Amino acid sequence: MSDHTPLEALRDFFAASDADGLKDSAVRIARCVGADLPAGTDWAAAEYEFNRLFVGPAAVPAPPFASAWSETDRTLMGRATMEARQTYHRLGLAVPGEGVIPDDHLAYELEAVLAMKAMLAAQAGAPDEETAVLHAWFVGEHLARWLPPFIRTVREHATGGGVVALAADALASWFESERNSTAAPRRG
Amino acid sequence: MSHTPSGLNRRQFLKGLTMAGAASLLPLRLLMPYTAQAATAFNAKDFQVFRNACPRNCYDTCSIKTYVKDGVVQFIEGAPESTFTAGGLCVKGYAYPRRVYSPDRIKYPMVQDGRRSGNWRRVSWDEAMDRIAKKILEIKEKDGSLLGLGLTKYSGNFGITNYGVEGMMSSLGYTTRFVGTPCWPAGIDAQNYDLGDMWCNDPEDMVKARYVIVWGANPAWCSVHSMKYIMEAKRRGAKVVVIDPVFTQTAAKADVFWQPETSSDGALALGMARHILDKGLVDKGFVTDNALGFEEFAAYLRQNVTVEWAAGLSGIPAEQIREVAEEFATADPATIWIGYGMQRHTNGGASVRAIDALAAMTGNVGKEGGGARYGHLRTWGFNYHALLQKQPEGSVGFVGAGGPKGEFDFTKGEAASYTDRTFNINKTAQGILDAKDPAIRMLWVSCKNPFAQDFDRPKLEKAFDTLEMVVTVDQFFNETVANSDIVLPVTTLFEEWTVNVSYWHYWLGINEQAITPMYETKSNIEIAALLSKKMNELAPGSCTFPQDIDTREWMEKEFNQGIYDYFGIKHWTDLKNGPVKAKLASTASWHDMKFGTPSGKYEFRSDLCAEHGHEALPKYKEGRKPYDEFRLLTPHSKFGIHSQFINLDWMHEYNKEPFLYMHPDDAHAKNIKDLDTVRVFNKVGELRIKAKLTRNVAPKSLVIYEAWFGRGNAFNVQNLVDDEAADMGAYKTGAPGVAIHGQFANVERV
Amino acid sequence: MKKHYAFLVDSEKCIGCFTCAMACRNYYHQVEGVVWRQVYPLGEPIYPHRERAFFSLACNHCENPACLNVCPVEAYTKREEDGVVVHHQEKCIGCGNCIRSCPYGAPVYNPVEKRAEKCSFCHERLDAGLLPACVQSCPTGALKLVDLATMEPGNEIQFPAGFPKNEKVNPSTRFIMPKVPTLVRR
Repeated sequence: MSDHTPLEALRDFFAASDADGLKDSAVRIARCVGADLPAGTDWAAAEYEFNRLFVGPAAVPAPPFASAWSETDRTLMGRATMEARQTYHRLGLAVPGEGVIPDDHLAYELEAVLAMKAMLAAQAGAPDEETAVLHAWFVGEHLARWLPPFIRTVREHATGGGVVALAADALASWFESERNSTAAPRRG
Repeated sequence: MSHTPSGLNRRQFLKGLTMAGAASLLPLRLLMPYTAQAATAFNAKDFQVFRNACPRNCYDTCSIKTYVKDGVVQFIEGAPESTFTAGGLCVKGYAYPRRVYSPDRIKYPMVQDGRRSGNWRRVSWDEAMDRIAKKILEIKEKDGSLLGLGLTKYSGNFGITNYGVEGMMSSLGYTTRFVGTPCWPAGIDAQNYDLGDMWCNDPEDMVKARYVIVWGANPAWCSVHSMKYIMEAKRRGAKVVVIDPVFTQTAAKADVFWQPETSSDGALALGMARHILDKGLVDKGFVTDNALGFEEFAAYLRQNVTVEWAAGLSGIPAEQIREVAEEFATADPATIWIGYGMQRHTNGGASVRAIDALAAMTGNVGKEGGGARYGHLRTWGFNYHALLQKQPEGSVGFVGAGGPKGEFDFTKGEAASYTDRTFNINKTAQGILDAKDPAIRMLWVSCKNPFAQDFDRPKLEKAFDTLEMVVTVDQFFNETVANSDIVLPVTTLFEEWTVNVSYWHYWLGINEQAITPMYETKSNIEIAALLSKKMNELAPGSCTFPQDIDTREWMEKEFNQGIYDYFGIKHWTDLKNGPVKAKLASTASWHDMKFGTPSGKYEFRSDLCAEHGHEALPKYKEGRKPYDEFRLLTPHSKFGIHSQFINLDWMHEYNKEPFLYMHPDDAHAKNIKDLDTVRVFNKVGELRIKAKLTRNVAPKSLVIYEAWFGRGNAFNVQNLVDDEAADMGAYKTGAPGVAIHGQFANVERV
Repeated sequence: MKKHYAFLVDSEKCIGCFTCAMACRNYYHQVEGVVWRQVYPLGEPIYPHRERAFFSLACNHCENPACLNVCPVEAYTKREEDGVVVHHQEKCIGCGNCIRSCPYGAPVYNPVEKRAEKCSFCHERLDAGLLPACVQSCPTGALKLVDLATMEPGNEIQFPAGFPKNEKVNPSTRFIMPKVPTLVRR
């Protein structure tokens, strides 16, 4: 994205499955937000922390799925998941192998925002109300419901000054500015 | 939340957007995700319905109907077609959706860098299999055999295709197996000596009993669906007697509750037998025509057993023993449910033989509504296609006698000169420590949680320290996973095809795949296929397990004409309409009086039993001598099946923490008040727990229900239980059982 | 003929297995801490053996429901045809009046959706000719759906020991009390 938001890098960070993926995306996040990566970062340790918080195999304090926060019985594949799925369908998108990974994984949701922003940018001359409303709802309602408590929990558990903490901070400030800049739907 | 199609309001709203344009936009807050919808009538057509079966180690093996929408399991219920399941599951079964969709579920293959470090990395299945395969090949290289590769597996998943785990081991070569069973081996041997097989009546015929003794079993917690038959028998006029060292929930539903000294059951049964003999209430026809050795048994009783003696050992008053004995002997039919807890003692097998004798001498064997009920395997006649895999050419193994590998060992004995090396599963820790030439280098764990369920946990830790690689296949991060190097995520019952039967009732149920396996989970046979692929990539011919498998095909391969005939179905697809019951000639086992013993008769005197190092007659055998102040019992909780379910947050809603149950007099003597935290300790280890005071428990005994609460809760009864052997079990299950309830400990306030 | 549906809680048949509680949770997926049906062990003054007798309780679908009477937005209705007291979640504003007024604690607060909720007798299942999830699930038939309008009075009672006696709301739930066996101890 040419506007230097860390959105793509954040998406890649939360989609990472190993230390290399984490390093690659963390470097890009740091560049976008103008931060410095901690000197001599132990990427193996970052990977362990990432898994401890988000993946497993033990119980995870910060499952990166909307429905784990939106429905406080912490269940996955809940209503928030179906909302995300319907949102993607509206955009003409879907998670490959629907149902295998819950649709409301943070990486998918961030990518959906990317898609919506791209669509809006492409429509610059003739904005489509539906996309704008969907974007506003997705950011202002759907993400707003779970990202703040998610980020709070991540900050509680992540090592201060570490890679995961950096990503959490970047996610928090991106989300705040995205929320603020998302226009309310026009009327009449 | 209702089960009307969700998002209906939203879809309409969004459609409205494109159609009506900006002018009719309603304020965004109507899109709030949690606007509740008005409930409308339930419509089954809104769902896809699948058939599943609970694969847990439970008498009831429920048939399940699974309601799926949008590819998500919405809710489940019991199948109404089964008269046993009768439309309802249990507190554990209804929690299944929580297992599938818990954020804490193990999702990916992961590697722990440094066992117990808590530092886990995701790896691809390919990398996981690569590490495992290379280790296996390394073992082969170093030892010249695969005896350094061990398997511990038991009853975590009884779906028939899961025997593919044993099959996987065989397909690699001759390996080390932990054989036997912690569950019921002493009783199995006992029933085999007496009757020639473990074969119980159809439990649904208990309604016909005029007298029901539930001896050392607690179906109100462990077989909830059986309770309705006992209650119906009672309603029809039967007398129900429950015998147990604890006043259990089942005991609360009895007419009479006996609380004997723990492990004195053999004496109690013999005392009753003596009285029945004295009163001339023996079924002469049965003992003459259908039994062997009754006269010798009668002589033994006259010379060695009196009612007073039995009363002295058991604590049950003599006149009670006489009364119940007479009632039991004159009721027609009368039945005894022999519980597995009752035989988890050093004298468990002997006690079961004595109780069998009671049923036999009163002519209750082979009667509908009668019998000495323990379990059966009559419905388990599958092909065991998943289990039966061949070792690769040129495999080198153990040279020596090969026995059965467990009660579910459906291999028909090995003709090869090599066999797997076997150790007693009940002494897993000791086995790992003792194994040499070669040592066990690598352990594969599936359908089992050794750290929660094996005995002498401190010893098990030391044993694991000697293992070079531990691979655990599981759904949740339990202590065994924490002690592993590689964890492989396995499917739940909704994510694989298999077929299930029970060791108690006579129903057969299909288990359909209801949803796509989540994340990167795989079923046990898919894991085996992947391993085989990698093994053969690295060393062609090193593994014979098929590399491309489909769980549905493998489920189909388990069926044979024998199963079809026994259940009266044309094809397994008939089971998509619901579970089916076996077409029994009679609900009674042994109805034809053709016993499986060497003589073909019921053997009061079993020479085979004597040959195996026990007594020929069901003589009294003393229980374990105390080595500490209190008896310690660690029976099953109603909220879980061993270490499954109790960790779920849905279950925590109703069962938040473990408790020790002790008698108020003992508590008073130790200055322990209700809900105080106490320390229970013995030669094995210790644990801290809150105490509840109750007379449900006998004086001088401590009762703690075994469970795994998850989420870092260190509660584990195996810190107090040692691996002392039961008397029997080696004959039919490959190894002696274990005296799980023959334990002792002390307690003090913290 | 108007029905008068009620839960029959047969504590003699009840084995305290919690199947009913979990069946409700299975069907409705209540959020953590929100329980519509709970299984309460009877205290030793009432049943002399600890944790061996239970009352399975949800909503009592009262004749004169306190919840309905205090609701400012008519989020409760009592069905004409069968007496079931339905909570209309879509109307609830979460004021808490019902939670404070019900003598049996049936309505509970859902902190996520910020409104009350309670057992509504699985009315959408009743309308499809099905039993409530809890009743269907009970392995011993201890929890039953009865029609008080036609039920022959037997040994059921309305206010057993351990159940608050509130004649004003007139709860419809009926109970059968548990028995105690003869105990022979060593």
